[in-house]
Amino acid sequence: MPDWQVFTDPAVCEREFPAQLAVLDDIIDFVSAAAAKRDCNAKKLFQLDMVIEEIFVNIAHYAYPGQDGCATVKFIFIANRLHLLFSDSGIPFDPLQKADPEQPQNIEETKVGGLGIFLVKSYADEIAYRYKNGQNQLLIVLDMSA
Amino acid sequence: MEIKTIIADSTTTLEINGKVNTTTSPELAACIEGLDSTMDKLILEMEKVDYVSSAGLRVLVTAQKKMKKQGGSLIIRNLQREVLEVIEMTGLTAVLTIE
Repeated sequence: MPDWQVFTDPAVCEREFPAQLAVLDDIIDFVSAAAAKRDCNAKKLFQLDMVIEEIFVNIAHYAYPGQDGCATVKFIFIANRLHLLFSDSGIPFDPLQKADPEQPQNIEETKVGGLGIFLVKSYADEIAYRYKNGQNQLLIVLDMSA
Repeated sequence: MEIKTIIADSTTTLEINGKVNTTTSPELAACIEGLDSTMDKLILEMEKVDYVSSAGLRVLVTAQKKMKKQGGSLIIRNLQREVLEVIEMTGLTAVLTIE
């Protein structure tokens, strides 16, 4: 299981963003710029962008229906393992409980919901959710050198 | 993201350049939706697309549904390896035509 305690380290990078799609590129830059300075595999940088987009877009779309809200992003590298934490104070939602999409059989019946979370779960080396202190917290660990 | 539209007879080719993500995919969706509904073939040339998120996958599936409904075909060409792997992971290779 991922270690939530790593986020008590003073070296953690943290920033709060409005839960709006307009800041998607800013969030990706916030984390990816730090990752790009390290010895990271290019494929993992691609996957990191995907993980950030899919999680943040879910928050922006669903966490605060009809109202404004914020999302906090924290991250820290431990060796080359990136620990990434998304928090929001929106409606409780555990994305890990969402069923994986069915394998498509024909185009007419192909559904496209749930693909984002499925991709995140596929890419993450470790992933965990908890609802604590009124917050959704999703912790993802990516081994950026694998 | 940039889209260049090339129309030749009943075939339309969209040359896409850049990332197809949550913020850019609505432009691609609108472009495809606005194409002539009598075209026989739609080609998405994706050699210069280096990123497709789930929002982009939704556009590809919607385009495939549109073309099948109007009796035409959709061909997705020259996917970069990482993008192809995303499509393979989701199983969408079973319902999309990829060259």
